[in-house]
Amino acid sequence: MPVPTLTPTAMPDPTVVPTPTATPDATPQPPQEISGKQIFESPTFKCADCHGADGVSGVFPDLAGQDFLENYDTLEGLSLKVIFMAEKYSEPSTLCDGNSEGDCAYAVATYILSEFNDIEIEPEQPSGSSYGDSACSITSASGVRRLTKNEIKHAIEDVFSVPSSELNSLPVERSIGGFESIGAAQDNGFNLSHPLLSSALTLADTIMQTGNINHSCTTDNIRSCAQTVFQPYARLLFRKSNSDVNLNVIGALADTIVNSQERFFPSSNPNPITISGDQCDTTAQCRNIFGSTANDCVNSQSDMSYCQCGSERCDAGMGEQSENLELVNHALKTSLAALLMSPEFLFVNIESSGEVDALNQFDIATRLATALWVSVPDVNLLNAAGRGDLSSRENIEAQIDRMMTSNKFERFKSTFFAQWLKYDLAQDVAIDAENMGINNWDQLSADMIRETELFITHLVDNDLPPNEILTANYSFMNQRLANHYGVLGPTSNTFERVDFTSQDKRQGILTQGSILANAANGIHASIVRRGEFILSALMCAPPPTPDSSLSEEIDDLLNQDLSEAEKMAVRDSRPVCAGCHSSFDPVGWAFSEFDASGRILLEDIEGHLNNGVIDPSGSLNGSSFNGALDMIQILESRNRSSICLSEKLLMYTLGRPVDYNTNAEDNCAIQEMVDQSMSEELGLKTLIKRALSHEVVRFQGDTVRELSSGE
Amino acid sequence: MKKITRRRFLRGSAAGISSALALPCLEVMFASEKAFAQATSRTNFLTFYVPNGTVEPQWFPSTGSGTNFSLVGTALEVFETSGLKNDISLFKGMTSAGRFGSGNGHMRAISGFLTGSGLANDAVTQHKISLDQKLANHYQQIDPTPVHSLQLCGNPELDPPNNSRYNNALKNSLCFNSRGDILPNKANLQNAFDRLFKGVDSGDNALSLEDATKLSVLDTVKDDINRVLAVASENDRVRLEQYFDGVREVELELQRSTTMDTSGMCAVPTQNFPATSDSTRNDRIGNHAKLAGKMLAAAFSCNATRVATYVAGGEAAGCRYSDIGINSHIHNSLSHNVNSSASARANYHRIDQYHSEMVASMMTDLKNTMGPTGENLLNSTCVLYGSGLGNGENHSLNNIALLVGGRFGSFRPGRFNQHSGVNHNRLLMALHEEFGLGSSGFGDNTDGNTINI
Repeated sequence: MPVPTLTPTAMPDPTVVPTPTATPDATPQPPQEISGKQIFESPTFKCADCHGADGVSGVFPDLAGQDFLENYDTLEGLSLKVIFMAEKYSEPSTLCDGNSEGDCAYAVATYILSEFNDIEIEPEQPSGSSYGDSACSITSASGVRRLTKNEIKHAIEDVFSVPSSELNSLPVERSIGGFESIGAAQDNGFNLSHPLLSSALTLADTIMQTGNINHSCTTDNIRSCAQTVFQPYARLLFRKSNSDVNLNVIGALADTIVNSQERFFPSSNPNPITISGDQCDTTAQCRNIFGSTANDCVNSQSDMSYCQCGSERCDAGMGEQSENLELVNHALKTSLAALLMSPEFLFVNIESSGEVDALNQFDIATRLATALWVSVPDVNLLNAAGRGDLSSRENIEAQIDRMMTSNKFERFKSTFFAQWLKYDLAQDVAIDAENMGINNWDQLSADMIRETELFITHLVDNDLPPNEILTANYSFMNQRLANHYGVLGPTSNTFERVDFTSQDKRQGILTQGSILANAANGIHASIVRRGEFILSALMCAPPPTPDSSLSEEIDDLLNQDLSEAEKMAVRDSRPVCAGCHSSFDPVGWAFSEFDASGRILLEDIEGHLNNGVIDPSGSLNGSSFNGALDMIQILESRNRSSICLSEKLLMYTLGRPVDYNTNAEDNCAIQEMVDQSMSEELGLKTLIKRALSHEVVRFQGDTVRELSSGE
Repeated sequence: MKKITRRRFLRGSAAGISSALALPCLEVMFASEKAFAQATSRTNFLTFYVPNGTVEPQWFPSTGSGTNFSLVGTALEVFETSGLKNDISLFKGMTSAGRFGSGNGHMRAISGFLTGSGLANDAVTQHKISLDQKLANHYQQIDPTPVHSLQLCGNPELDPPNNSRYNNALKNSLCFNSRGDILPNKANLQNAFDRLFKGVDSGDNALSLEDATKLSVLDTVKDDINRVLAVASENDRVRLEQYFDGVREVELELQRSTTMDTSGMCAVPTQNFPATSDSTRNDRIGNHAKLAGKMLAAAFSCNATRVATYVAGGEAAGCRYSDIGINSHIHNSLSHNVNSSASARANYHRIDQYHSEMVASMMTDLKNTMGPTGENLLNSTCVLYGSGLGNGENHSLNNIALLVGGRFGSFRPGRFNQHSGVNHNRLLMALHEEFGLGSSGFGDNTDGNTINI
């Protein structure tokens, strides 16, 4: 069977960026001569074909009702969506000739809102910006979210200098769009608090045993003393100014404990430590009570054991006070556990006032620290916030520069890029190794992940152009991986840079094994999954989930014993499938020359791909390709790398869904960032800095926008 | 009438699962006749869920109906060889309630299995309450157990997130609480054991130092959350309230365990559990499931909980089945090749059989364990076993595998029921009614139009 040429007639490529002019004009005017109804119902624009003439009877999602309005309640947002959908599904038409794309979309959006939703449209001037130099208004808030498991772990490591493996028992984080920081995805209930309680108490014990918590608390002063002792730690954990840290409940807890001795140390329980009695069994016990100066439990086997601090008994000169030391210590430990479970530590953006407003200085510091260090701010950053330094972009960028020189910045690379590109999942892919003649898949998959890690580190550290993610003519391999790929170069298991030749057929991240293996179904590479991944992750244009009404049709197709090429041809022949698949089937097909393990495929043994023929050629929206390298050039020419990077970065940082294609303010902010990077030819590291110092990162709004799975 | 506490009873009996078997029911052990009567009316509910679908034509018998059917050669054969055939009824030809929602097939399958409801879309973070949770809530109102309910699993792995904008947690979402939040599945049996039997061996003294400390911390954290809630915006309150509710639930469980009155006979199992974490893949779920079954039988006999679910693995992920020598592919990979690969189909069918062996083992433990009423536990338990997907190859939501076992209400075991495209929520509605939760319907169907079970 000949290889199908997948040229969906006039199916525009969704990876084509709606140009900045696509954003509705800053002062949108109602159309004078364009009929939204006419466009909506025209056979070339196809709106009514898919949604139904009444907006709700077609196979596409309803254009009316509460769910719809929750996502598209502004003309600007809906207009953008119309433009994107038209780019994707409509055929060329003369209906809009002579008018701007924005005006046409505005007319359609007006028609949808007024006709299907009974909303009266009154043209109005956009409110414009009141936020300094930004032209973008911001209303989508970053609602309260919990620190992620890794953020909690790193914060405790950074603040208390103790290992935090105890927190591994916290639940695996959920995600939306791949990012764990999205508040809507997080589990904050019993399954968090149950393991957290045990972990917090164990960690508090560990921290107290380090002896770093110096104190002279007694049962008489425990309330105020506990507050004083924990103040500097709470300031870091809570990300506040000293004066705003409120430890009243922590002090009250410590007080309650020492005043409820009978509850905590009833007579039947182990005796409180006494001067004359059996003080200890281990040195660790002594450290728990007397701090790190305790260096021995003398006579530990006897009933006259005592703790030694240096050359003296630890309780020397303490008189009767020493009888309560264990109780005091227990009170402090318990208070510390409560501190680690405090909502002021665990949640960010809590005190949202409900108004569109600038984040306060400390919230900005938190946003920077969680993004770049996957942790809480350090003293330097909090001091800068306290001085009000974070009100200027220049100062924020200076802080970002400082933070990027820290070892803690490594966490950003392994967190953000892994959550974005999912390259670390290669180790979980179970390929049919035996049939593929691979006997070291566990090592190889680890090598593939390392390859991508080194590649990303190289791009970031050297501030290289974002499009090198796709087009870099080199990678990093050891001998084992190079042999697997069939690439010449490395002669040991030490990773080194390898520059590709044209015979290698490799370029950028899309030909790295960690990405290629990830789209395998266990036996074969999946054309659909590879195409879908590229559209979703690198073009930021995820295809919609098929409507449930298509289930039977999909069942029919998948039940047929067809090759991948034949299935593609069937999808291409059915408009209801082709509408989406024509945008990503060719993309996946171009990579069909790589097998499920990332090797160049030499033969189609089972006829799975194309009845024995390997021919990764085709066309995408009029652009012909013959294999992965051609497709990479097509994708690169779409100029989508910076846009998609910015969108993903904002999503990761803000903890809320961000959508360049359908949300006007996100579109505006991202376009502004990208315009800057394009005009100045910024590298990856600088682009990250610009994104994190952008106005949109520094403001929060009044609308917590949850993600819809609409198209 | 003198009340004998379970703790006192245990002092005179040997510990271990075996000692829980065949103990006589003594009405004298109940605080009152009312308590005895109440205990007799409680139906335990155990669900075993299989992700990624089954080889459905080989799961059910190909012929027969009513009471005339044979399980030989099917995925359910073990129920016949274990003498459990007359304790189960099969429901063939039903369509998942998830079919009538929108979104990813895996997500619709698992989220619809116990909710009887289709997802609004696959990015939602909340759905509708599941039947197990509705029943557990009901029990907490009328006759609380120390542990509200358990959500267990063999393989806890959550399908890795991708860039599609769906909520990946929906792939492990069998259970939803009354707010519609997803309840994660847990594989760490030791943690579950500690929760279930915490109160059993604590003696009659006051709180332990550890529990007293935990309760103090929780009390403080609640105060702290309330303080923050007072200044939080309306939008922010939801997530903080989730945290508050979670803290409160931990507190309640601790308190219940210290005042545990099991009103029945109970022996704490003595098994060593495998060191399974709640996050990493477990490729050996067979023994895990069987140990979980023994633990749950003991828990039901202790009234430590009455509602539990066991998920073999998350949708779209899945483990290898190393116990039976299937190491080359994970469950979901095999499911996507059952049509095109004979070996994949054979292995998948073997895994279907293996799941049945796990369920049969659980049911056998229930049958061999005496419950509070003096009868074996299977006589007061509803076991629901099946998958939300039909053929996993194409994410079909039709022709799903469904089996109901045990004895409760007017349920008639020993029957092969055949339907054609009937929404499986009508089965859930029937269970809902038999559980005493009312006849006003459940899930997406509220017309009370149940099927005969």
